[in-house]
Amino acid sequence: MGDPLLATLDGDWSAADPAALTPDHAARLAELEQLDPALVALYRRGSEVLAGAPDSAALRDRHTALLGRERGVITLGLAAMPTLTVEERKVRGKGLNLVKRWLTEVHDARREALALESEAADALDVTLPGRRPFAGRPHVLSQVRDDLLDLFHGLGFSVYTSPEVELDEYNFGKLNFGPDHPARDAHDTYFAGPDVVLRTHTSPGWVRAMESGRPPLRLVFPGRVYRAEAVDASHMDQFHQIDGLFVDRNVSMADLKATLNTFARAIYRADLPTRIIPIYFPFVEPGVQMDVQCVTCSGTGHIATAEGGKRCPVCKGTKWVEVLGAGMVHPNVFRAVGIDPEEYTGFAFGMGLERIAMGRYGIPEIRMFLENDLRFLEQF
Amino acid sequence: MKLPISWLRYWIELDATPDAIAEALTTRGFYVEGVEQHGRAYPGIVVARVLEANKHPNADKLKLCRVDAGGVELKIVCGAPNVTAGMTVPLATLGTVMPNGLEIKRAKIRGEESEGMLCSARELMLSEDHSGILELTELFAGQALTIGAPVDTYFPKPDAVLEVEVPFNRPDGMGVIGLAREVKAALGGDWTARGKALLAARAEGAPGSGGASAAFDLSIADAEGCPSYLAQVVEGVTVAPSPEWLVTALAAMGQRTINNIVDITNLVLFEFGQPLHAFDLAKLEGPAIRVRRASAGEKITTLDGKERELTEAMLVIADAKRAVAIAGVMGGANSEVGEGTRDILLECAWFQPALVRRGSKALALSTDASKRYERGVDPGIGPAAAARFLGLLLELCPGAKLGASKRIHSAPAPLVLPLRPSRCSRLIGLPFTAERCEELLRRLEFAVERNGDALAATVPSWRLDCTLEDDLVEEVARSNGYDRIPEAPIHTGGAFATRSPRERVVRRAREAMMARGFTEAWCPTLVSEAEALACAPLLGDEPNLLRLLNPMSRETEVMRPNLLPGLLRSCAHNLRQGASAVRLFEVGAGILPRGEKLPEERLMIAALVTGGRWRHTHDAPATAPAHAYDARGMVDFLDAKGLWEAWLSEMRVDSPQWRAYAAAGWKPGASAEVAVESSRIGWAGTLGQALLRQWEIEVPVHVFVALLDPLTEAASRTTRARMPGRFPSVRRDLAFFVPRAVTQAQVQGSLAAVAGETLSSIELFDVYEGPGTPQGMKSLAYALEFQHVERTLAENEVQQLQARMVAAVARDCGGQLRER
Repeated sequence: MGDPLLATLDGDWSAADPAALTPDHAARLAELEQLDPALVALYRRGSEVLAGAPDSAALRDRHTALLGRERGVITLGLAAMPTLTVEERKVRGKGLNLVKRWLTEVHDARREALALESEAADALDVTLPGRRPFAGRPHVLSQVRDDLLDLFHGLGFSVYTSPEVELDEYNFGKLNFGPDHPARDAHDTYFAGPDVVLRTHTSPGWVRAMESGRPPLRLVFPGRVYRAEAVDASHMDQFHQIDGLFVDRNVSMADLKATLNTFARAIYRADLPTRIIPIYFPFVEPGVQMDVQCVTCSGTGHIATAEGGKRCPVCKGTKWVEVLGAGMVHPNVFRAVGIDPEEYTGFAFGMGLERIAMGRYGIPEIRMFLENDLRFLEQF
Repeated sequence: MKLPISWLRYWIELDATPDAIAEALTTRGFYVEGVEQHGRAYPGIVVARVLEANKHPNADKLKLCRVDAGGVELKIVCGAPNVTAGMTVPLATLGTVMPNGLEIKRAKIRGEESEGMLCSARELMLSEDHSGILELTELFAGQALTIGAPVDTYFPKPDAVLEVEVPFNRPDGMGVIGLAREVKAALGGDWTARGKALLAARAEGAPGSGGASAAFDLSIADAEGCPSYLAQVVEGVTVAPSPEWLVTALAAMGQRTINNIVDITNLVLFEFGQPLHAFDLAKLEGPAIRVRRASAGEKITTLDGKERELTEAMLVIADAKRAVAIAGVMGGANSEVGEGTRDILLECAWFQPALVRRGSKALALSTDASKRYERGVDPGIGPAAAARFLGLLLELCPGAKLGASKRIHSAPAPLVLPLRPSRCSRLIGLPFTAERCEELLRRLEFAVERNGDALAATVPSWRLDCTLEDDLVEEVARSNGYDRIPEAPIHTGGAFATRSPRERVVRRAREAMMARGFTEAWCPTLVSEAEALACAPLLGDEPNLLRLLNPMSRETEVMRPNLLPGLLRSCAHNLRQGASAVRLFEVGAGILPRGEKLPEERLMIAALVTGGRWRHTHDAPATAPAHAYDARGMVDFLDAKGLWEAWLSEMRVDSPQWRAYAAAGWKPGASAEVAVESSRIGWAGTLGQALLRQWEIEVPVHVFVALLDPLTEAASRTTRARMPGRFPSVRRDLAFFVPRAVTQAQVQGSLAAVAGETLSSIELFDVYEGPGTPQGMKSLAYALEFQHVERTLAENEVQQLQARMVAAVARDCGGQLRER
C-alpha cells in the first residue's frame, strides 16, 4: 500500500471494532476496487480508524485527520489530483467524494454511539424525590361552602353579604323575636353593646336584603355566626351558616320543597330519602325542618356490633338526621321590612356548614375546623 | 318533655306502637329524639320453687331438679351451680320465647328429660349477672310470691317513654294532655272515659263544704301580671310519702318524690302543663294572698334554700306581711308544706309570660313552672287542673276536706281568626277547599264556622301560638301532612344569579394565594385582648377593639382587628406539632370600632410563611452547580416578598410601590407598605421576635396583608390590549455607584422617569458592595431594554437615552456610572 494517501494514515491508531463498521457498500466497493483499489483500501482503513475511536476527543482528532477541511486525507487527495492524468483524475475525483461521504457516515454513526454512551454514564436515580414546591389547599369549609354556592348559583341565587356584628333589631326584632320571646333562649347571644350583638344566625341578612332591594329576590347568605356556648367536640361558639331566601308573588311550600330536595340530591346522594316536617322558628310560618335518612345506619336506627347490634349513635335510633331549617317568610318579617305579605310570599332556609362537612367527611370533632392543623387541612 | 306511653293511654284510647306514636308526633312538629324502653314482659315465665336438686347421673356439672310450677311438677336439667332445694326461681315453661329470641323446647340432656329452663338475671336481660339462677325472693323482697304465677305479676308494667322536643311556641305540648291531643289528631281515636271526665271537671272557687277554717283574703294588685288566680283551702291533710304508683309516674318524668302534696302538684303540672303551688295555710300571715310587684330590695328565701333579692320588675305572691313565692317561678321556704302541715292553700294561677320570663332570667332560676308560664300556660285549663289536684288529694288523704276558696278571674276573649282556603293553597302549594280546611282544623279542636269560602276559626285556649291567619295555614299544612306537599318545578321569578366584583376578587385572591403554596385557614374571630393588642399596631391601627360584654373566656373576649392573631395561633399550633414549614392564609374581616353603632368590617387577605423554600428538597451534588441558590435554605424576606409580588401581579395590581414602613411588632427595617397610586393597600414584612414570643414562635415569620376592597376596582378594570413590539430591541447593562442610603426604587424610578416609553424593560440584576466600591457607596446594576413600537432604534438614540439616564441618576441619587 504505497499510495501516499494511505501513508498519511500510518501511525498508532487503536484497533477498530470490525462489528462497528458501518454499511458495507458492497456493490459500489466492488466497482471501485476495479477502478481504484487504493481508494477502497483508504475507505476500509478510514472506517476502522473512525469506528475505533475510543471517545469523542479521539473521534474529533481522527475526523480532522481524515475529513478535516484543511489537512484531512480526503482534502489532500483532492489537492493532489492535478498530478494525475485526466483519466485517473476522473476516477479518483468521483471515488474520493464517494469515500468522503461514506466516511462521514461512519463518523456520524460513531459520534452518536459515543454520545449515547456518555449520556448513559450520567444516568440519574430517577427515584430520587423531586424538588417539590408547596401546594396550597382550600379550607374544607370553603370547599363545602363553594359547592353550595355553586349549586345555588345554578338555581339563580346570588350571594348577599351582611355584617357579623349586627344590631339586635336585625338579629331578633325584625325577625319576629319580641324582646321577651322565649325563643331567644335558643340563641345564647354574645353582646357587643346594649343593642349590638354578634349575629346568632345569618338570617339578619334577609332583613337587610329586603330593605335594600325589591322582589323578586333570590339570595343566599353565607357567613360566620356566634353563640355564647361552651366549646366541646360538637359545639363551637363560632360556626358557619348559609341562609337562602326567595321572595316573589306566588312562592309556596312546593317551591321550597323542590329547592331543598334539589340541594339534598346534589350535596348528599341523588337517591337518599329526605323528609320535611314541621318545626318552629319565629321568622317563618309555616316552619319546616328537612331531614335526610341516616347514612350511618342506612335508616334502620341500628348498627351491627360484635354483641349483636346497638342503637345508631348518629341518628340516636331516629333513622333521620336533621339537615336544615326552613319555612315560609313570616308575615311579620315582611311587614317589618315594608313588603306587603298579601302581595308577596317567600321561602327561606338555613343550614350549618360544619354539620354538612362533618357528615360528608366523617369529621368527629368540630374544633378541628378553626385549628388549622395542616395535616388535617391538606387531606381535603 | 318525657312522655310515657302508659300515661298517654290513661288519657286516650290508643293501640299504636311506641314507634308509630313517635313517628306521628315527629311529623307533626313534636320531634321525638328517642324512645326508651322501661322494663319488659316475660310471657311464659312463671314463679317456681325448686323441690329437689340432685346431681345429674351422667354429668358432673349438671343438676337434675324437680320444681313446683304451681300444682305441676316438672323435671328440669340445670347447669347453674347455685341451684338448691327451696329456691324460688323464674321458670321458662315449654314454648316460651326468651328475650334473646331462643325458644324453650322439650329436650333430653345427657339422657335426662328437661321440661323447661330456670333463668339467670342475664337470660331475663335484667343485668349482666350470669353466675347463677335468679332468686326471686331477693329480687321481689317484701312481696308475697305465688308459685305458678307469671313473673310479670311482680315486675312493673313495661312501658316506653318518648323524649319529645317541644317547640317554643307550643307550651301545650309540655303537658301529657297537650301531646295526647296531637297524637289523637294524627292517629284518630278519642279521649278515654276517665280522661273526658277529668277534662270536664271544674274547680272554680265554689265555697267548700267545710266552713271551719277562717276565710282568707285574696287580692291582686297587678291585674295585668296576674289576670287569674284560684285559691282553694284544703283542711286536714296528712303530709306523707307518696304511694308507689305516684313515685313511679313522677320518676318516669325525671322528677323525684318529695311528699304526697307536692307530688300531686307535680303530677298535675306534667299532665296539664299547669303549675300549681301549695302553701301551708298556717304559715300565711293574715291569712291573705296578695299578688303584687316586689318592692325593690325585697328578699325571699326560695324552696331551694337560697336567699334572693327581688326587683320591682318581678311579680310575687305575698301574705299580709311578706313575699311567700316568686310568681310562676318558685315558692318561698317560709310557707313550705312540710310534715306538720294540716291545712293547705292551693294556688292555680295564670301569670303574664313576659313577667315570669324576666323574673326567671334576672334570678337565673329556671324551673318546671317558669318554663311553662313563660311560654304560656293554657288560660282555660286552670279549673280542670285544680279539680284533678283536689280529686287526687282527697283520694290520698281520705280525712281531708275542702275549705274556703276564692277566685279572681278575667277570662280572655276567645280569638277568632279568618282563614281563606286560597291563602292555604297559595302558601302550601296544594289546592285546598273550604271543607277540607274545616275538617283539618276541627281535628285539632278548632271551632270552625264556614260561610261559603270564608272560614272563621275559634282558636282553642291552649293554642296561644295561633294569632294570625298564616298560623292557621300552618295548622292546615301540618294536619294535612307535610309529606303531601308536592315538588314544584324550580322557577326563579325572573331573578338570576350574578357574582359580584367583590366575590370574584375574593375567589381570585384565594386561588392566587393557593397557587403560591399557601393553604387556606379559617381562624377564630374571637381572640384574647393580648393577641389583638399585639397585632393591631402592625397595620397602624389604634388599639381600639370591639369587646364582648359577656365573653365565655379570656381567650375569646374581643373581635380580631385583623387576621394576624388567628394566623399566628395556627402557625404556633403547627410548629408545636412538628411542622418544618407553615404557609397559611385567610380571607376575612378585621373588626374595627369607628364610633358608630356597628364597627367597620374590613375585608382583607393575610398570609404567613415560615420554614423552607421547598416543601421537599435534598442535596443532589451531582447536578447542583457550586454557586447554586441554596434550595435547602429558609424563606427570607426577599423570598417572601417574591411570593407577595407574584400574588399582586396575579391580582392585576399595576406597579405596586413598596415603601419602608415602621410600626410596633415588625422586625426593625424589615417591613414595608404597599401602595397603588396614593392609597395604601397592604403591608408586608418579617415579624419581630418580641411579638413572636407571645405565641412562643422562635423561627422567623414573614407576613403579608392586603385590603381587598381597593383591589375590587383594580381587578374589574378592563385592560386595553397592547401589542408586543415587533422591531428589534436593544439591551444595555448599566451599573451605578450610589450612596448606600439610596434605595433601589429611587434609582430605578429616576432611570424610568427620563427614559420614557422607549424603555421597554428595566431589571435590577446585581447589588454589590465590597472591594472596588467607593466608601459609603454600593453598586446597582440594571439590565435595560429599549424598543420602539414603530421602527428600529438607531444607535445614537439609545446613546442619548443612556446619557440622559446616567445624568438623572447623578442628579437625583448622587450616583455615578460604574465604568468597566
